[in-house]
Amino acid sequence: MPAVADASLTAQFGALLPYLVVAGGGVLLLLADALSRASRRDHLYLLTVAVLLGALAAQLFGPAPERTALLRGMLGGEAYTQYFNLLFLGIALLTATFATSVFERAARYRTDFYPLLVFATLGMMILAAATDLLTLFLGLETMSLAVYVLVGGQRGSLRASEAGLKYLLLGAFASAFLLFGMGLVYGWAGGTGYADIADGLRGAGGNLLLLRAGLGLMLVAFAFKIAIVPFHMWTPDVYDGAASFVTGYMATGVKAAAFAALLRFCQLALPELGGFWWPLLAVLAVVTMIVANLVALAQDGIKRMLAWSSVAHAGYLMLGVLALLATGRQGLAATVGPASGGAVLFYLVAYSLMNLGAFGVITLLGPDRGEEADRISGYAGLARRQPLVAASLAVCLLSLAGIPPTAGFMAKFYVFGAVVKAGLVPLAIWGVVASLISVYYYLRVIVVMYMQPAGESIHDGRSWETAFATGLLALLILFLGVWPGGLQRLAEVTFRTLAG
Amino acid sequence: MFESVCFYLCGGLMLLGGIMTVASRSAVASAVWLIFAFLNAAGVYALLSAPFLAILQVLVYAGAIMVLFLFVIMMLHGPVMNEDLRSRSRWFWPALALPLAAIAGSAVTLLGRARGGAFPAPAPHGFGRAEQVAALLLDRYLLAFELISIVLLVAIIGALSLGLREGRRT
Repeated sequence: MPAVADASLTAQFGALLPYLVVAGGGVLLLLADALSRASRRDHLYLLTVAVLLGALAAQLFGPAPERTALLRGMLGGEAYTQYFNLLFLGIALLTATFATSVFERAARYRTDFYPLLVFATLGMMILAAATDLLTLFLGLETMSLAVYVLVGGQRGSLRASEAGLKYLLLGAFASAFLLFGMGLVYGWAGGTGYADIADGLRGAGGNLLLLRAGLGLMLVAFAFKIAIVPFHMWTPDVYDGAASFVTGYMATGVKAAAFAALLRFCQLALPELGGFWWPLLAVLAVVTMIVANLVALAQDGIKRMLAWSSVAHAGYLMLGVLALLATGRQGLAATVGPASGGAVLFYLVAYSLMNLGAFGVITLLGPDRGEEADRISGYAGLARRQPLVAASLAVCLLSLAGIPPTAGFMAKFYVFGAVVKAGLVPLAIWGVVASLISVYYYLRVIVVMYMQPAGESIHDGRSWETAFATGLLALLILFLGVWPGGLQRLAEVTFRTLAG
Repeated sequence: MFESVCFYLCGGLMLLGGIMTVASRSAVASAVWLIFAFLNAAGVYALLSAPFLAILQVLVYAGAIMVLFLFVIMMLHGPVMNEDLRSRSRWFWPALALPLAAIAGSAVTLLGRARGGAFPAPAPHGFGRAEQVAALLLDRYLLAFELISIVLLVAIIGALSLGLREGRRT
């Protein structure tokens, strides 16, 4: 039984309204898609935007989030949920905008993109709000199934089909790991709620073998979804093969959702067992940061480079999770814990902004015309041809590298700061070394854009929505780099609601 | 005593069915072995005093779903197998040994526990009847129940969307 009592029925309905809007909107989009002519799809984009904005409004202006359980402790309704729901809905809105600019020019994409995008977003929202192993799994599956199809959804593209198939097969494998692990954890705890696991840990010492085996298997699945070494092998191929706007959606939404679920699981289910995952995660995080950054140095394609960069960023984010686990172990949870959790939340927002910006520009310039258009050398002279777009991409890349005054710098600053406060100085040093390596490959793109003469122009994309959106993202990144305090406080307060 | 014998028999046969499903070289044989595994799983449910689940297992899984599987295999013109699948890969034996070791490991752990007297209490009266399953589905697990419908919907759209591509091109 849940530790937190259920809210009243009306309060629950208010809190569930964003999910209902998104789920109902997805079904509505399917119907609209089926009933409309294949040649016209502008209205599908508008309907998607309406659904997502409606859910955003329901989330923002709904009842104030409380620390209550929803639907018998299956979902948590705290500010933490709200924070991530807003993030996911924002990511989906931007992705739909990037996608529509491509759809105008190329008929290679199917119209079921929009409903699938909406359902994937619903899965992310459920995943981040889950307080029960069952909802965790179902949220993950809703998200994953939709994303598999989004990845493979380019008509006639062999690379996309290959990427979709790879992601589907490996993802199914990871899901099996997750289910098996959950089965063992359920067998140990006697309940599927996070609270049941925490209760079991508080009650019994004794034989933790079953629980540990289960948690180890669950960790494999989490590591696959957030793509940390050695569970990252799918990332370059899948990120490269998918359409650029889908890649941006995966790199930000899927990763943020998996991290949100992981943080919540660590905080609610394993408050006293951080010690178990800790050494394992520390090794994985360091290996991830070093390997991913070194491999990214050698990449010629910009999507492949960003894929490896997203693996590296999963490593930095993992440092924040480690800081949180370490504080739990040292009894510092009350003082330093929220700062570490808040640092991860801040990082996820900053990371989403800069990756969406970068993939938005890539979508704008070369909508997946094969490997040639994807090469970094193809960006030569971009600064002269499209100065504003080049400037947006430059800001995003500088932010990914962690150079002030950008959001990426502040995000790394908070995470590494939390790691040092938790007493893990060596890990922070590894993190700094890794991000120093990364500066080279991010700056290389900027050098090519600004200092090399334009070769034959392979990029000619113009779309005012995408250009406007990426420009806005670049401005937001700069804003968060100069005035990070507001979001940082919000993130910390938000994380505190999770701890209760 | 009789119940325990039945339980371990069903469990063992279910494992055998699972292994043979993976190891069979013809798709039809795999499907039939999977039905065999499902039937034994139904036996395990019945012995765990969950008769309703046992019936559902037979009706839904062994009946409906596997018949669908067999239909699909038939539509794909019988055993379509390429040479790679015909010959066993060198990973076959390790892949077989690993789950067996895991099963043996869990069995040893559980038996060790049982010796300590920590076996779970017997199921209460009325456990596993349709009313109870319904109460769980529509109350405690309502959200999960509803979410599954969305998962399935997404899966159907995905399958249609990826499958239709071939049809449209021709």
